Amino acid sequence: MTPALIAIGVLLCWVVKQVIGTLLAQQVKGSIPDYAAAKAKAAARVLPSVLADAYLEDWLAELDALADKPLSALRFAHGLPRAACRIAWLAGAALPVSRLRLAAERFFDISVSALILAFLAPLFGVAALALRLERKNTPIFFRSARLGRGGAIIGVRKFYTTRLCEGTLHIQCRPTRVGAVLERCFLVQLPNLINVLRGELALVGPPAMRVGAADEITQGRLHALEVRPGMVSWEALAIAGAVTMTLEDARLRDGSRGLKSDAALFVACMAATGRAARLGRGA
Amino acid sequence: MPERMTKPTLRLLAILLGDPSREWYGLELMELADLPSGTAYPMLHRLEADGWLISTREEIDPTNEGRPRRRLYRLTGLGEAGTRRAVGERNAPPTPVRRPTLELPHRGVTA
Repeated sequence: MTPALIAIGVLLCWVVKQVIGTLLAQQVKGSIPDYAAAKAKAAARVLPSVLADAYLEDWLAELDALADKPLSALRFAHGLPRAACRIAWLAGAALPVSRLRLAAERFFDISVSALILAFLAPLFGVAALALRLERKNTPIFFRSARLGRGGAIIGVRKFYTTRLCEGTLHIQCRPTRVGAVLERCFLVQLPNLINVLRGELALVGPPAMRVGAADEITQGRLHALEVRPGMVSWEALAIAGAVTMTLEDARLRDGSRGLKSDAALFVACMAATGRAARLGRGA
Repeated sequence: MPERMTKPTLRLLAILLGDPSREWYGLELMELADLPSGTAYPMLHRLEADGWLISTREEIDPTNEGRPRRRLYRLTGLGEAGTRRAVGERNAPPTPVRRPTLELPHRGVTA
């Protein structure tokens, strides 16, 4: 094959690519408004009926401002399902979720917590023995009353790292030696996994609310009672500033059913919790 | 007042505060604050529910203008005062964070 033939072949390929590219670009550009309108309609279906029509009208009216900006329209359209989910959540509507996803999430919670407990069983035993030997008259687990799913009262377990308190007016407390070691190794919350196995907690979810903490049960927090509280939570991480997401996003992620214990989300949440704990942000 | 003033919320409010008497539509605010639509619209919804914003439907004749009527947002008195305060706090030097007090020992299930 001569170099001339190769050059002609390359040129032909380039021309074909340019023609197809231009045709496709025109086709895509032309269909973006329809695509964005379809996205807006689909997003509005997630909203409660009192909000759906108003938001659909708003979004379609604003699409008009993007008529000559196809890429911005695409970006705008992509965010609408998320916007609808968040608005529905803020308005107190339950988001649609399949039973299969709920079952998959529970299966994930049980299998991961069982696996971690089995793997850390020797450590668990040593910690329990050390606590018992250190203070014979105290229980191994501390159970604090929290609000579970549907407002049920649950006893969230953690190791009973007894604190020695001194003083009368200003009480100063510090953990015992074993307690301090457990706290330093982030093992105090390990018995939370028992709550996960019992179905009282999820691995990831909204923070468990204190019983009678009326100030916490504001409108935005009521949704938290619809799902199992989490052993770790994005909300706590967002408050601690350990993750860069808004508090609304964090709460939406914690409260979303059938999604929150996704493996990647769980690993990311655990990693962020570990980072926050190391930085002493108390997440 | 919003439960927690996040940076994106403050960014959006600062734009509204730039001209408190002006009315803005959602897309305009979204682009100026450089927020995705998935964040901007819920934020506007929440701020309106908190009484920081008020929204009205644009008063135009769609046939004359050749486009549909948009929803317009502007700051309320409460929102304007709150935003000024939040912007002031954000510019103030940071205060040391106090660690939460430790729990006292309890036996069994406790509140």
